Amino acid sequence: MGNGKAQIISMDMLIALSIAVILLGFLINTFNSKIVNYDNEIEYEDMQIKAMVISELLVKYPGYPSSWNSSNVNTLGLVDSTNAIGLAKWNNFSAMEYNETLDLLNVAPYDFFIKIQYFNGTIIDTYGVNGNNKMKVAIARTVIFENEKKEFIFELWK
Amino acid sequence: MKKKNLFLNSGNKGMWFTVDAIFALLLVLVVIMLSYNHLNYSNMPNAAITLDVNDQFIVMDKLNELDSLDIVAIKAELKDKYEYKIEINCESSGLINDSSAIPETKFIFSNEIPFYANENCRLRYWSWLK
Repeated sequence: MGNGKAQIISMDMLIALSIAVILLGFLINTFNSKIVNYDNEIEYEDMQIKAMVISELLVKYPGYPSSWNSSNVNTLGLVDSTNAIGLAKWNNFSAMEYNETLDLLNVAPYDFFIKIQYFNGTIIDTYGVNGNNKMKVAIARTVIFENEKKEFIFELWK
Repeated sequence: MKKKNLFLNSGNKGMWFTVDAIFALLLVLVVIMLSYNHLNYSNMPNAAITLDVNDQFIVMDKLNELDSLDIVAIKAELKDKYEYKIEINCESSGLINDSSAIPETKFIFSNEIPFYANENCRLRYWSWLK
């Protein structure tokens, strides 16, 4: 048997390499999972911005033309004056096909659901497709509906 | 027979390379974690809250619920998921203040809205999540 140097150097190197590979694997795995989380975070923020913009459009603007109906609507808006939802507009909106409102509000690639409710959570009316998915944002707005203070919830989901 | 110290024979370069690698990787990990935590910080939920809180005062003004100039009554009409500090300043009635303290560690949203309650008034509010 020789003096064993070559074998021991190989052993040292193997141990060092093993530890380095394990750590590198852990690092890459952690990094990838963080990147995935970060991507989800970015998409979630995009959804929040979109939901805020759409809810702002619906509860602040009358739409175009201002007394729109389902046959001449160009831009959707639900209020007669700021934060005061017009019943006629809400009824016109509720009667529209979901896919049509989806296009007009430019919601794609997401889906949406609207709830009008009392502050205690009792639902008065709804519109859209209710999703129970993981990626979902809900924007609460305060509006006047049928001459009373109500909560307008706009949910965007994927 | 004297036992040969194999590590001394081969040197301890391998161990030091490993220690160097561990330190370098730990450093990289720490930097990445810190960067991620920094990137993870978002103000979006706060932006959504500001819209909701602002809406409430706009709606209260439209429903003439601010006309009483009674801060306790006004607060009773607001959503209870937030905390508020309100200050009303009117031309004749002067300053009506609220003794609530504003927390230093929370996101505070503040705004001022003009309204008319038999005189020109301005309502300033500070709001934060409970």
